[in-house]
Amino acid sequence: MLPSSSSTFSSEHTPPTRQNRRVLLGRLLGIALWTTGALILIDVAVGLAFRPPSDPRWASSLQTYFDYGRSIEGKLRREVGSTPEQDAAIVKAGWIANECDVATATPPGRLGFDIYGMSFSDQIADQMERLDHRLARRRFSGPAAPPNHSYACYIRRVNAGRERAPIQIMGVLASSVERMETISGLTTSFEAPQPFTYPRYSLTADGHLEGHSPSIATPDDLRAALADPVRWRAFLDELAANDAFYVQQLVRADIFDHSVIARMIRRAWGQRVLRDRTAALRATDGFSGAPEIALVLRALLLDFAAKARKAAERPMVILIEDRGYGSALSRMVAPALQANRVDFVATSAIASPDDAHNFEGDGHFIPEANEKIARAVLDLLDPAP
Amino acid sequence: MLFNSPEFFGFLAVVYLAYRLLPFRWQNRMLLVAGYVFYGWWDVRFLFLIACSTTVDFAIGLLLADKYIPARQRLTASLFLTGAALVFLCPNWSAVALSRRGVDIALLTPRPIGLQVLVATLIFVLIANLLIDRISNVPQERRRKILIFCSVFVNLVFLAFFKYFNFFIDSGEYAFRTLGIAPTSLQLSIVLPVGISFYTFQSLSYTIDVYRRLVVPTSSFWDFALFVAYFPPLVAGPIERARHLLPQLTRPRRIRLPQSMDGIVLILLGLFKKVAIADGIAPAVDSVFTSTGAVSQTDVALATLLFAIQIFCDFSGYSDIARGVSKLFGVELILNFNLPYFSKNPSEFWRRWHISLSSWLRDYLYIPLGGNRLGTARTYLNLFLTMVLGGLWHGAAWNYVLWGAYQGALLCGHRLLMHGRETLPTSAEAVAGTTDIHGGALRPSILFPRWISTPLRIIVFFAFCCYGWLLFRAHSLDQIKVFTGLLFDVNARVPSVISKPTFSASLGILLLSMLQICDYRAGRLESFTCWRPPLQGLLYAALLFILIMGTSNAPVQFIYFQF
Repeated sequence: MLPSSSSTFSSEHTPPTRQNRRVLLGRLLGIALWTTGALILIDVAVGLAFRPPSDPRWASSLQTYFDYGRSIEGKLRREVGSTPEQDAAIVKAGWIANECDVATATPPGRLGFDIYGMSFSDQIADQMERLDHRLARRRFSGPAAPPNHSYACYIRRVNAGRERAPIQIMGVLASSVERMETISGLTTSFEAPQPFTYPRYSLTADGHLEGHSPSIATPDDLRAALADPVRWRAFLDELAANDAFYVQQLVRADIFDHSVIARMIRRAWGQRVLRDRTAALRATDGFSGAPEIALVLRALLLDFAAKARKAAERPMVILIEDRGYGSALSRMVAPALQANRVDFVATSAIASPDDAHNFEGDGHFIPEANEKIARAVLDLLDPAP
Repeated sequence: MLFNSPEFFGFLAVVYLAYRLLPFRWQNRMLLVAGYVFYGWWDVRFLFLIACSTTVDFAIGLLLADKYIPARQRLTASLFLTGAALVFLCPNWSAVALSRRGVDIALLTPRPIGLQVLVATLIFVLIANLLIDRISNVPQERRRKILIFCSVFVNLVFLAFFKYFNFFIDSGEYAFRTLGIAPTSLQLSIVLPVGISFYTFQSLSYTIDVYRRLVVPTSSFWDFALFVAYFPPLVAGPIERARHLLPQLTRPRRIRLPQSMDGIVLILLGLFKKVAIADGIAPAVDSVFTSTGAVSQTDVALATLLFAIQIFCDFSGYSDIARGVSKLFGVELILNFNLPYFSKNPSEFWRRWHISLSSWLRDYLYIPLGGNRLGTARTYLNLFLTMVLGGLWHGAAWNYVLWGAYQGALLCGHRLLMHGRETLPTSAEAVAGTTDIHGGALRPSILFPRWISTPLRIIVFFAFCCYGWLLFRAHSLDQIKVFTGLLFDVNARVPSVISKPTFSASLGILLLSMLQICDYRAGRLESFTCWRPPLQGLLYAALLFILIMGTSNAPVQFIYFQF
């Protein structure tokens, strides 16, 4: 017979006498106490040694690492200053009231185009301008902004009577489509929340778009809410009611923010919860886990095109299909765009989302892929006389 | 259900609580159900394969020893197999997963393939029951040979179909294409049942041992079913032997505090290896081995080194958790890893790495092939063939065959250098890790003192071992060619693409290396349990802290599940 494995505590496996048992229990208790004490010591020491600065940009990688699991509210309280000048950069980004209300004129002699979206669409717009110097771009974007942000941005410019370029382009990022079920960039990226907000749209019984605008619309609103417990509570309730990614334990500040270990456990748990929520929205064939997303997205894009045409502008859509999404986005909206003769470019046909070569380490397209996509958009625009 | 998932710990808590509350016989029944739930978590349908192996090997075990199977056991086995076909194959189990996604498919809508297998099972059971009476009239030795052939055949047919069918078809088609013939593809869409190689080998070892009269067959069907489906080692080993595990399952067990403490320490250590280190390294290794662009010499060297650490932590981590969990139930599993990277030669490596497989290969392949009893040339051939088949056991791909051949060549080369004194086989004591931790006998070095020669030999063999892992991890023969070329191309100037291992992995590697060196020097595993309580407390706190850091690593499936 094969002997049993080597053993540790039970190296002898002798029948325990009462005295042996007492000694063993004492030893175990001692080890348990020392373990607990050492864990507390490590927790406090790491917490003090890697205390993050208020602006995430100045944090070292280890400070960021040990702070990933802090609650969203905890991170906001650190990042939002008492004056706008003290705000961290991430706090200022993406707000519709700030980003979409700017009035910059198109340089004379150049054909302007406005592009709504996120960093992906910004990069494509830059390439378009670089490839054709007759073009002048104006970018309206938010970090990983979903289509409802872009649509709301366009509507704001229309309603405010801002000067608009003759070409209006909306970029839709496949990985941001899930964010249509949210009202803020806070909830979907727990580790680095983006505080900007945007309306969430739904369809009424008669098929019209209906938007719910969050009560916080500017960094100043956010600052005021953080200082006023009643208003902050109301905002959290609003998130809970309207944001599919809201998880109370990840958002609200609590005692666990003070422990490095608790923060790391919350980070792992948060990753799991958000992964599950994303998976629930994103079935293997695209976004069929949430059919309402497809209906609302199609309605948004078609309404954007209709409004642009009414204002004698040329609408266009870029379907940006990043890694892990295949051509789900094209399959979801391309038929509706074709049926309504809205010009669009689907990046999956130009830079395959399944080919790692097309992407940078941070998930963005490599410059060569951006150039190919920009050329495809230019071919469609054909701005040459 | 992965060992490193919250679901598993919920499952373990329920099973452990029930185990403590139940009397012995019910403990075994509950453990059997737990094994089926544990395995069925991946795919309920494949439980039928386990049921087949169980029924066939149980019946053959009894027939090998006696001429007949008692009527009650025959009825139990027949009903069990038929019931397994009915329960595991006929309902549409995928409906459970799909219903979570809002797809409405009825669970009880029978699957046509399930009904077909049910009918086939009924016919098989009927024929088998008729044949059992016939076979009792066959002369004893002939009967035993027929029966052992049937057991080997049934087990290997399942393994060959699910694991190797497409591999052989693909290789055949490739051979035809190179001859200019374009064959019609016969590839089937086959899902590989998780851990099939492990439980097949375990079940097979039982009938072979009964055939060799090393084991008395059990007359309890349910005890044997538990032996096959005992959940801690079910999907990734250690590959248990009936003579070691079965007596522990059939006798009442007493759970002792020291044994439970051992178990908890092993679970902690296993999780630390898997979650903090292996999962933290995986993205770095993948960034090179799955890269479709150019990689540098440094990338290949680093990724190979990291993979050596990853596979050790992944697999030995699983074994540690399996052994630890089993200790909580008062059952000891055999040791599977014994500081393998401290080996000084290939022979010693195979006494330390995946011990349950290497001893299985020795007992059921190398020795039946003739071992070292048929002359020098035949010994080398047996050694080489055993390792090639051992490589193929790992997976249906040519890189595993090549890895096996490489290990075989190393063993043959080493044996040649040692003038035929060392071979693959090891003593049972060494297999179980109860002998000298420092491995096989050393020849005194005439060039260097031992404090230099020993580390030197360890480092040199580790380099050889790492190259083996390159063969193992590569996804194609072309990649092996390119990466091997890169390793020796000093002029290659390509920017590095390897991503950094996580912080938890880097810290974890340091701590684990320190612990392994301590074990090696102390001459026993987990030597830290002899440390003074304050030092032990500090160590456990550090292990826990790094483990918690690692919980944010993206969870990766255990590498050996695919085997």
